[in-house]
Amino acid sequence: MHKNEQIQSELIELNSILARIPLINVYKVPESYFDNNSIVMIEKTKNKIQLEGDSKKNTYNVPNGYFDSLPNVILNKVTTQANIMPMRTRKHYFNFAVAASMAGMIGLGIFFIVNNREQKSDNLASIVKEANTILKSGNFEKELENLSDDDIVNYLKLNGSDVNAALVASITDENKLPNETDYLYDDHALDNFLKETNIKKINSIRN
Amino acid sequence: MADHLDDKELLFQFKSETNKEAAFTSIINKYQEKLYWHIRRLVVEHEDANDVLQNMFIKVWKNLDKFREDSQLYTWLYRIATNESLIFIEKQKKRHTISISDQENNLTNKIIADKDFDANKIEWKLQIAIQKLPEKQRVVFTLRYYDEMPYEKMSRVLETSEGALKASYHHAVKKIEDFILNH
Repeated sequence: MHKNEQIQSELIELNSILARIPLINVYKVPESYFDNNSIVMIEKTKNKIQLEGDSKKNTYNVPNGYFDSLPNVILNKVTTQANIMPMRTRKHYFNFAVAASMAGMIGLGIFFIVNNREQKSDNLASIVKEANTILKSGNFEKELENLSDDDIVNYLKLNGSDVNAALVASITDENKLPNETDYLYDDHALDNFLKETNIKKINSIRN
Repeated sequence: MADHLDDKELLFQFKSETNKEAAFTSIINKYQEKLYWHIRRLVVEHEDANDVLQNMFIKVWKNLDKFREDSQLYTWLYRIATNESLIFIEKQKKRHTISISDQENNLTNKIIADKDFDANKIEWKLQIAIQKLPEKQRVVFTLRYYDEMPYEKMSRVLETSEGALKASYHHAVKKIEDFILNH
């Protein structure tokens, strides 16, 4: 190997000992490595590209004509759903609040019904048994009507529940709940609704 | 296809489906040795250099259609070879979770493991000194010293100014000299 003149003069200029070191390639390659390399390289390239193509091939099948009919199937579903789906949807957290309160009401209803029947009894097993009988016989609604509002309020107070929320839940007509657009137009829609309902109804209950 | 065609003609031939393979074979024949040695000096071992060279030519095959002829094929190939070599070294570092200094030792160990290695010969000391250089200086030094690449071309390969490359090369020469004198 001979050093390029320009490279050599640059090293001399830098006064480097590299200028005095002969340019020797210390590494070796297997015999005739470069002779057939282009053929090997072409084969490897083809194989690699083929492999990459194979690995991306889809192994799953779809029924004949699936993609042809899919747009119509989806369109049909969308238009049918658009006809039957109510546009009004309530805020999820309000649904949960109402559901939780209703669950509380059912619980306390059973408690009072059973408690009224067995005033002095502390026997939990008999209370549970009685509650099950009421639930099975389907008399729950009827028994719940016999409870006074004061009983319910007192129960909620004693058990640390939110009396106002439970009352709102128990007296709310679902059809009068604010709809989604109300929330969009006014951030205070829910607050106003609760405030209004609380004041009117709770006052009427207490009076 | 004759290997005497210039790069422009080879690129033209590559774009036709019937001549694609022949044109690509000519490109490999024309550049493989230069690129192999450039890669080999960076990754040291033949098997590694062979892997990197093959991978780089696979990338060339896939991307040659998109190659913009406003830069030279030679420059573009060197850029891919350099990047592929550095990516390979980086992957090895990650695979073995070794630090930069350990990586230098790793490459040095590969040199020492060569069956022809002779610690008393200055040309082998030079190889170890090159592996002690920071990555960028190592690339610049090998491109200049071994590939005899003009700064102007190197500037296009490494997308760095000629001034910065000259400074890098001079620093590398000084560090190599220090290493050889002290070992």
